[in-house]
Amino acid sequence: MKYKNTALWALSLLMAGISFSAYSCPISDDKKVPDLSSAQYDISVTTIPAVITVGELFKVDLEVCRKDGAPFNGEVTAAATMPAHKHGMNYQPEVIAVEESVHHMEGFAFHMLGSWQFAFQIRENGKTETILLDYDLKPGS
Amino acid sequence: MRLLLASFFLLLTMLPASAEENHPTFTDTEKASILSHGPWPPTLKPDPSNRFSGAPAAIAYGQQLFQEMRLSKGTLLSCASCHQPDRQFMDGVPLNRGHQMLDRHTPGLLNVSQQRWFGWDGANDNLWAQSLRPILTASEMNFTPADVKDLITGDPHLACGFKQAFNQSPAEMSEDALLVLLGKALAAYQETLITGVTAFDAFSAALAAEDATGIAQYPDAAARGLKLFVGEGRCNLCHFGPNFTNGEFGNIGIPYFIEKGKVDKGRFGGIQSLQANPYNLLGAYNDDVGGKTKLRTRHIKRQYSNWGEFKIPSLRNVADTAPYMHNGSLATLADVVDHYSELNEERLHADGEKILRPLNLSELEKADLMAFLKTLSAPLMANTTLDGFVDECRP
Repeated sequence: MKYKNTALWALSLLMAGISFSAYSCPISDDKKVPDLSSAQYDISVTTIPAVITVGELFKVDLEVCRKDGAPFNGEVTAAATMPAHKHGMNYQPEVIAVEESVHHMEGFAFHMLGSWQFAFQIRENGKTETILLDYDLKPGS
Repeated sequence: MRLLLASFFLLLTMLPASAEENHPTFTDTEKASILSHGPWPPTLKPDPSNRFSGAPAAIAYGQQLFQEMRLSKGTLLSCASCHQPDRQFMDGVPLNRGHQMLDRHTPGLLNVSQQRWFGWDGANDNLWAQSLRPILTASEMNFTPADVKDLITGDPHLACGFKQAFNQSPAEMSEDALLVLLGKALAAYQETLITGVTAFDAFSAALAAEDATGIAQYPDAAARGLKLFVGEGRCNLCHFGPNFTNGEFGNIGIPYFIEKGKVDKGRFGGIQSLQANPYNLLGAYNDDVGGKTKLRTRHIKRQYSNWGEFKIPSLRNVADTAPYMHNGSLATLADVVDHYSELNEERLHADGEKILRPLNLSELEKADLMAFLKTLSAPLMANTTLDGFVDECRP
């Protein structure tokens, strides 16, 4: 039994290590593509799945790191619109978990082909920054 | 001789343009758009929210219930009275009548399993709840959960079918639980209503395989109409994917005033109803233990722009399902094409989509678009689900 507990503990340590290395600040340069950095923050956005399909729900991991090295102590919200069509999504995404520097969000769906734009609002210490990210949803993707 | 040669070369320069005009070629983007309307038929997967989805006994029972006139007050009508199997599972009239005159056009049920929202306003997020709606609506079949239980427990054949389908005794169940199982049997039956391969699907497959012979077999007018559909017309923004709908809602300028002082709220009202419905996917009757089916309903957002929006219908078999629109106000497919050609932008919602504008189609373009739409029809596929199933409860 002791061996089993030790093995479980080692496994959880290993998983914690993976989690920590995946989402710890600062954000590595290879994850800052495209570069969404602002004066205050380094930002990384990952959609899950990587390729978005028309009408299908997807998730977003938004990683936020303060450039001054202090821990981020704010909150984030997300939306997306088709600026040329002047409409947004038919769904309201929300943050479902916060893990280290990353905010796991779900409830996104792009219901049309064309040019979409994510808008992530970062609120901290009474200030709000909006980070925009364009996404072109093409046929066959 | 010079004149003859000049005429010959002139003819040569005209030929490719003429052939291109008759049977257009497609750009890579257009090809990708066309291929996104397949594959068809879809791979049928059981609905996780309905544990009887795909079960032969439930399908057979659902088919029986679908034609059961006694599921309405006064034995007035069955599901099949409006969703007529020999009329593409719709009724061919603008507005039908149940116990009262109805406000919305009867939608067809072909390929209904491929939808994610049900009803013109999407007031249901699953097919089994949608199947209960007309039974319980006063203006339609006007039944109650107590009426349903009395009918099932009081008729030996229906009670026998219930036991065979669900392995439960109807007499020992609550009215609500019994009602939901009826909905799940009706849904299991409707999920089998899948149409076959169309002329468009054959063309799309030929295009994917670069099969010149197969491509050439598609009528010229239909090919020109298809190019318009995925190109200048931008029809595929909403009529997207294998079922030719993105599954969402739009305001296309069809009036939503029913009569003086009475407005059809469309999707705006639909979301209100959905969120208040105990049979939605967030409720206790969803059989999906994983919970993935709940996500879309959990994140639905009601917006002012939802006013006057109605579900974007599938275009499969569209040529055979007149009349059209949520209120049945357009009598023919030609009327629908005219509607988009001469769209009245002032009727569109001020905060709504900015993607619609009059297409100003020529008579030839209208005919081409119609020719394309007519290649989206195919008969119902043979139902293989019930092969070998013995219904011991039939009278």
